[in-house]
Amino acid sequence: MAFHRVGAGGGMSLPLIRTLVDRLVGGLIVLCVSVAAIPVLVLLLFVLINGLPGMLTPGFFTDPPYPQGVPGGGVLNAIIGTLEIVGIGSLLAVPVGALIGIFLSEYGRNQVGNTVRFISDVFTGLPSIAFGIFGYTVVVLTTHHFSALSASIALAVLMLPVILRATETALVLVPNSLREAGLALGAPRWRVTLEIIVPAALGGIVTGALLAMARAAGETAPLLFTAFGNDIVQTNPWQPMGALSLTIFRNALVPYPNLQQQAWAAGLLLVALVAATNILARIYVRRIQR
Amino acid sequence: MIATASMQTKVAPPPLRDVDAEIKLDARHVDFFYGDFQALHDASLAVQARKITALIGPSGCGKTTFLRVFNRMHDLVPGTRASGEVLLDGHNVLSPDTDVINLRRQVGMLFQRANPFPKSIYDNVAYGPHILGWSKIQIDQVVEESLKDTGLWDEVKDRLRRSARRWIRSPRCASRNSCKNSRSGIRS
Amino acid sequence: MKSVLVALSAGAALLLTACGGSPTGTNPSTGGAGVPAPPRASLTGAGATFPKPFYDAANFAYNKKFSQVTINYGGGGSGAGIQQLTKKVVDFGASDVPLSSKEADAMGGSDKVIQIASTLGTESLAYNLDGVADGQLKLTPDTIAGIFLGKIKKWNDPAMAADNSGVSLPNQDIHVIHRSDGSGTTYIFTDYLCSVSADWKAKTGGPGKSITWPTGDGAQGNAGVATRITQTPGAIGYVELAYVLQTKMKQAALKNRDGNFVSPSAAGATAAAKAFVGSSPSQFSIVNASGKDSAPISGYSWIILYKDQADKTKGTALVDYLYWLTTAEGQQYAVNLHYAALPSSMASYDLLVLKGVTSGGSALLSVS
Repeated sequence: MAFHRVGAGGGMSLPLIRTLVDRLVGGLIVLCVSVAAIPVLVLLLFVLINGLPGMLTPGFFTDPPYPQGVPGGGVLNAIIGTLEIVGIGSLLAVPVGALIGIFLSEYGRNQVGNTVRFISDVFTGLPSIAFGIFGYTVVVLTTHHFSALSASIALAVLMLPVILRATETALVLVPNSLREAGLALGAPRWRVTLEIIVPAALGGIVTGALLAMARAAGETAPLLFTAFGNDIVQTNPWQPMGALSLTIFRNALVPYPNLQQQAWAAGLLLVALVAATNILARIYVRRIQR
Repeated sequence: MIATASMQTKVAPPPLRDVDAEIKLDARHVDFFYGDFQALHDASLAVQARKITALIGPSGCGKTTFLRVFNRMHDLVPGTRASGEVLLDGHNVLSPDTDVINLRRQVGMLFQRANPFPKSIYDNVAYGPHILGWSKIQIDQVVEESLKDTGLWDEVKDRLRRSARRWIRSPRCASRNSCKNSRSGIRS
Repeated sequence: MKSVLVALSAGAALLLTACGGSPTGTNPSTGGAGVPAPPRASLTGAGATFPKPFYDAANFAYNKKFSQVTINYGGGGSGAGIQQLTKKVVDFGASDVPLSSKEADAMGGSDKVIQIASTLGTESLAYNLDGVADGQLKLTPDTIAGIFLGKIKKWNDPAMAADNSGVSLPNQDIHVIHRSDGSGTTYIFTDYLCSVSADWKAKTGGPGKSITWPTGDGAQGNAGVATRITQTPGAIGYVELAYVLQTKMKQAALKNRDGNFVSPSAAGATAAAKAFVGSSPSQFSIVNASGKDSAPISGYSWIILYKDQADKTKGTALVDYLYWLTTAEGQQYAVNLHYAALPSSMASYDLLVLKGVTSGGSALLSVS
């Protein structure tokens, strides 16, 4: 404080100006946060208002969609589809992504690592329809069948860069002293990595995986020509399958009010699922860090 | 340039060289480089078996650098290089054929800061013997002994399976030294 | 495990087709008792969006009747349906326009595919005009062509007023809305325009699934056009009847070939279809039909499949289902949703070609 007073040779005006500037900048920050937050809140409110009536319709969670003219119907097919497609996609992407992330952090300070990093960054920037085309070309055209599996593979490729970068970031943040402590005990590098470094970074890895899953669950474009959609409740991953994002996409474009309502409700459900995943990630990280 | 001067170290051999003393580790004419920068100049040191040898010097003079050469921890820092000889029981640990993992099992190291692993108290203490492949009974025994030796046993014996990190961060944690000792007891 | 299942269901297929051969032959347009029980299969189709509500309802009913068969119809547009079938990733495609010879060649030649008419639809000209009630607006072939050529720009154009005495048409710009995606609906509409207006034909070159429009804004799908019309005052566009009725849009009365003003209806579509004897995939156009009740902008919707089915079980289930779809039992779901029932002559044609579907040389459909 004494230091500041020395600077304030001009009398009382400087602290006053400083206070004003402080207030001004503080106000600007609040304004910016509001500008960013208000559209999100309005959107959430909009989805809530439009989606809630459909969600409260009996059978929404328990029935498959019925065709026009048959009363009732729900999105059971899409709920199961989204969970299964994203689930299988995660089973494929999380281990591979985590392993690549471990490689990048622990062994990737070289040309190979940089190449992998570059490719991963390019993948992050690709429009998601490209992953759909990948799934279609690689799986659907070769198996001659639309399938949930092809969608899972497309989503897995989409999730991969997110997971591997999250894993790498989490591992890099683990203090080097921990690695040295392990190595100084005479533990081989792979054991130190798997038994000490990965557990230390588990929070970050799990968060990255969950965020990737949340992103994948919201994708429509990669599913259009892979999962294809299915109004029948389908659990066989070799068969075409519905998904919440597909329900939204298709039902938003039809003239039937009940189906449009179903699209809103599916949207609300998807938002809720993604929010729940994010909250879950936070709770998990908090528990791990204690 | 000032930093350079302060980092340059010459370690003289202990003045009294007991002819009967068993020399466990003998560092001879060690030069050490961080890239182009030479941190150690012709450093030599003989460490006797079953004796405590202290290395004293001003901050930044290269004590830790020197010590880290003994179990090749400097390998982990890219761009470093050591020359000269460090004989452990007559074998030069700096030679390329040294089994670094085995070396580190023989030359333990205690760091300035505590580095608790993200594991339970028990697993932290047991990690060294676990690496060495000791049996469960042996490990149980050494964990208890180590914690008793450092006076922590009574405090932690009921929560051995809980996270060590929380314990160390909590205000009830014993001094940093005792936390450190809780793991140092297992070092060979 | 999987091969055992396939073998089992193949066995079941043989058994069932043997049963289906019993002489319960009925006229496909009226009967329903002769529908064969299909083997266990999951079928996938893609294509035209126009008949999707009908297919969805029919698929649902078929699955209720024969729970061993599930049919998943994904829509996606006529073009997509043909494309997916060409790539053999779907079991059947659907299109509002039969295959062109080029498209058929991509599938191995026109003798390798068969096409059946599944339903019949008609198009409306829907509009958004305050003060003009549903059906009050009357349009003739000349005024329709004039509007879509951009020659008639105002709702109160003298050419319009002549047919609409008693209706006060506002001095308002006409906003033409057309499809932006390749569409059978567009094909049927432009086919109609070509047949009634030499001027249109000269300017646009002929009917097509997507054309260069002289005027107007594009919107995606029937639903997109319907939404745009609802949101734009002064808008007019061509939309499938089912969408018009579902969204309760106003539609114009259209002057047909016999000079009557008709409100497009399912019955009008059937009447138009009956005016053309011997329709087939190669002679499919039924626009501007004669007959006093005929709806002028009508057309069949087609289902396309390979003549030789690689998977016998699937192929059997597919032809059993498609046969059922063309019977009165299947067609009732079309009628419920404002599609027109197939005329019996067309249903007979469908049965004939479905009997030609084979697997490994033997016919799959066994109805007499």
